[in-house]
Amino acid sequence: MTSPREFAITLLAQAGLTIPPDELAKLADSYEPFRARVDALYEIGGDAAEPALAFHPA
Amino acid sequence: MPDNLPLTIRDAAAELRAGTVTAVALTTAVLDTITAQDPALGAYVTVTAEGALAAAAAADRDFAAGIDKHPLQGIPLAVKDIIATKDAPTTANSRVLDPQWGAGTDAPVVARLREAGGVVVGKTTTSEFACGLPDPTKGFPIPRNPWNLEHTASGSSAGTGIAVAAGLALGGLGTDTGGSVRAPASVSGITGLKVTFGRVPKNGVVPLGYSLDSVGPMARSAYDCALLLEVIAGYDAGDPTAADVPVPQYTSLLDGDVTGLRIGVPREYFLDNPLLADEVRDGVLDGIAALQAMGAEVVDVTIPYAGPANDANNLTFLAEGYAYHRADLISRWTDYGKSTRDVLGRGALYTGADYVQAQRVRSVFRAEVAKVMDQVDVLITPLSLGPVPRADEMDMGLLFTGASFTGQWNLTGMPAVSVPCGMSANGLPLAFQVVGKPFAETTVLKVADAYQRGTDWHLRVPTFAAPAEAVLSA
Repeated sequence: MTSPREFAITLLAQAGLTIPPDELAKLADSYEPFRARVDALYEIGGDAAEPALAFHPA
Repeated sequence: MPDNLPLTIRDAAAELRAGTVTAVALTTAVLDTITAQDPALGAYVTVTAEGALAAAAAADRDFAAGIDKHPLQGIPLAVKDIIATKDAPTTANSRVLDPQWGAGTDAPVVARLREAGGVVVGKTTTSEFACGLPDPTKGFPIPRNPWNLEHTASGSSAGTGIAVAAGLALGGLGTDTGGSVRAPASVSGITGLKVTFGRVPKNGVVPLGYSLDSVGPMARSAYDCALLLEVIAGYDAGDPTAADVPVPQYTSLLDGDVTGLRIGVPREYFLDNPLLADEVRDGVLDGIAALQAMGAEVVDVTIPYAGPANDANNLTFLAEGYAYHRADLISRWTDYGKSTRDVLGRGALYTGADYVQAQRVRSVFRAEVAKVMDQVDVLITPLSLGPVPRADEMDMGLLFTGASFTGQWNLTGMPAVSVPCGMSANGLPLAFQVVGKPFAETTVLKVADAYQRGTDWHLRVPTFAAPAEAVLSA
């Protein structure tokens, strides 16, 4: 099974980014903690939540 | 800063009208202070001395002719170097930005400052493209905290914060996508207002997060921020996100009276956050108590989803920033500063669905906050978790894994002002944040102004240097 770190490296390569190895490792390591937070966003709002595509708050 | 330089725009405006100082003398004193202190502070990328002195002379001619455009007339001001000015290049502190970007044009906010008689003295340092930490290999000034050069000046509007705190300008402009006006204002001990999204036009400004960015005033006092805001606010057809909402004369509404005003104090995530330093919590609570003693009502409130809202704000700026920078990140990765590319590159790791989900959370969070704001006029929160850290302790990774009290209000688009409220044990400024309802800048400034009428934290000046050669003479 692909690790989050390996998955991040794949995503960065697919994006066409040419990143020195030390930076690539750091960036890939940063993926999993924030990925978990992003995944948690899907727990909020339920099916009825509409995206806020009008940016003015009022 | 020189002892005889007026601390505030308000004081300087009074002296200019009393004839005890001229705009040219005031501008010369500021330019002399820049010459003496900026090599250590790193506040300016470009100083436009010739244009500033010409603008000051024009202001003096107007005063002599009985023309009084606005209290900003003749006031030396600083502009963050991601905002276009016609007399200086815009660099965004980056080797990547096209050197011709915005050349020869003033962003509407700058044009408005000049039309009011303001004197633009230069372009101030920013985190590259308004994100990341300074990279000493890229050749731009490294901003340093005027209270202690070893400590961070924060970002991204660091230069304007430093300049105002140290007397290298009397006010200026920053931009805020996740806290970039409020945080640098707080660590330099001045006042900074993140405006309602759309309140101030942002065309002519290098974007970071299209749906989050705002241009805001930074100055010593809330009153001075109000002076700047009443000039820069208002619709501009060149900004598709600008709001066509009337602009009050903010300063006329600052009466110091907060009697009956309801202050919501969010405990969960904010004041009860286990990571919050005691001295920060104490400073915020002292500020709230001071306002309560003036007649404000204080109620505890709960802001649901405050942590996820900050995550959604970060994800939104990553996605929007990556869209802007994608081509250059692919072709010029190492031309970006190391910290900047580390932040912007993260935008490649998340999906379109993730971005849309962040916008769904945005609508949910807005609705939840609106319910709370039906019960109160403002919220008061800490601005940061701890006292101002050393520059070498800064870690942009914490932006994505730590707690923050600022990004939520970019996500909702609400106004929020950073207010100095004490000094930490390490001798650096502390601040709290006043958050208001959409387009209620008057209310947040009113609360901040009332607090500042009874305190002098915002008037304290860093004492690291006081060059004798920078002497103000009328």
